[in-house]
Amino acid sequence: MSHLPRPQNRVYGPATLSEKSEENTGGGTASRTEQIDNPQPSEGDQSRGGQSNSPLNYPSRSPFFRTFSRSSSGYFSFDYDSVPSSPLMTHNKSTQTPSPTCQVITHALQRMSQVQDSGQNHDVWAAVPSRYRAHTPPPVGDMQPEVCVGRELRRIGDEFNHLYLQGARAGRNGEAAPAGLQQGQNEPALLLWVGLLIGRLLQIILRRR
Amino acid sequence: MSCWLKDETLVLAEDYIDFCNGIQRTPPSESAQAMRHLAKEMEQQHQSKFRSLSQTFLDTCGSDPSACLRRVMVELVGDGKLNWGRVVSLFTFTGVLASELFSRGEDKLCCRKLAETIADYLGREKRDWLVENEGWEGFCKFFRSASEANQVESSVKTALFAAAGVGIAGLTFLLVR
Repeated sequence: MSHLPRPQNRVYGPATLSEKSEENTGGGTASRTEQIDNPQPSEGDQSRGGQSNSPLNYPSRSPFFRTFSRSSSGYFSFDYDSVPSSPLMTHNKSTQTPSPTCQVITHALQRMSQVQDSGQNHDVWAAVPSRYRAHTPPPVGDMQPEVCVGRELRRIGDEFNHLYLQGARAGRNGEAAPAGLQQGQNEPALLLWVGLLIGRLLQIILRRR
Repeated sequence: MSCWLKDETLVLAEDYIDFCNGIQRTPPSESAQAMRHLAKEMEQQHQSKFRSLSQTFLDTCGSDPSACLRRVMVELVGDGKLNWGRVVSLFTFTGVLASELFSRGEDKLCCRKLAETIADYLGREKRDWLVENEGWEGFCKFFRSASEANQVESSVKTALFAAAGVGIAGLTFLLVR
């Protein structure tokens, strides 16, 4: 989002994340990145945006535009959910606007690739409640290696702790515990397969008789 | 109490590092055995991750890995929370780090420094948390409760598969006859 014109944004006060991160000069790289990547748009921003949603008076430089943007062809998108290089953000600069279908497809493809990148090797982590995710910062290139390692260990540790505690609780309740943590995920499929095999054999025997 | 906790943590850390470096000996305590089991399990689950983390760590930390490890621990509890899973992840990482240092020709003193750094941080800085969680005895309880749950599940699974096997064998026999 750093490509937005900064002086213009500053006129409307510190309502957006990019401005917050600019003002936090003493926070260092890591904290600044957290603010950028964990946006928490306030309700006020959105409601204010809703009031100024007028097709005649299209405020391309207002805070609303940064929160809830619309392309010239009518495709709406939340600003914080957009890809920085999305064509939706550049409509006020370009002379030719792609068709709405093209914009939607391009945006969707970019979002999908982004989600796939961030979701790699996090299959088990997806099952962990979001309260653990809240502490998981995104990978950032200019982060100090100790910070990066520490956060990764924190994530792995929390995941391990959660799964182990879940297993212990399930065992106390007489339920199936996640033995071997990840191995248990294939067991229902195996049981189903055995059940189907027995059923098929029974069918064959009954047909023969 | 804090000195005792620190000493016990040091024994645990040294034992795990030696274990990772291939030194065979009986675990000095139940908690050391539990740590060996859990940390190795975690390492197997995230093998490539731990390798890349240790490479990154060693490439950037230079000649003083202990000071860097301390900063890693500070970041590990940066949100003000600590749990046994995080402690295990710290030991796992240190084990991978120690074996990497060992393979690069570093002496045992370097590995001992890593163990002392962990013991100093957990035994002093996180003493209150350890005391609150019954020290390393609490860690053994954490390990035992999870293991018991897994054993129960394992026996149920075995019984189910045995029954299924007998059923399939019986049906096949009827079919062939």
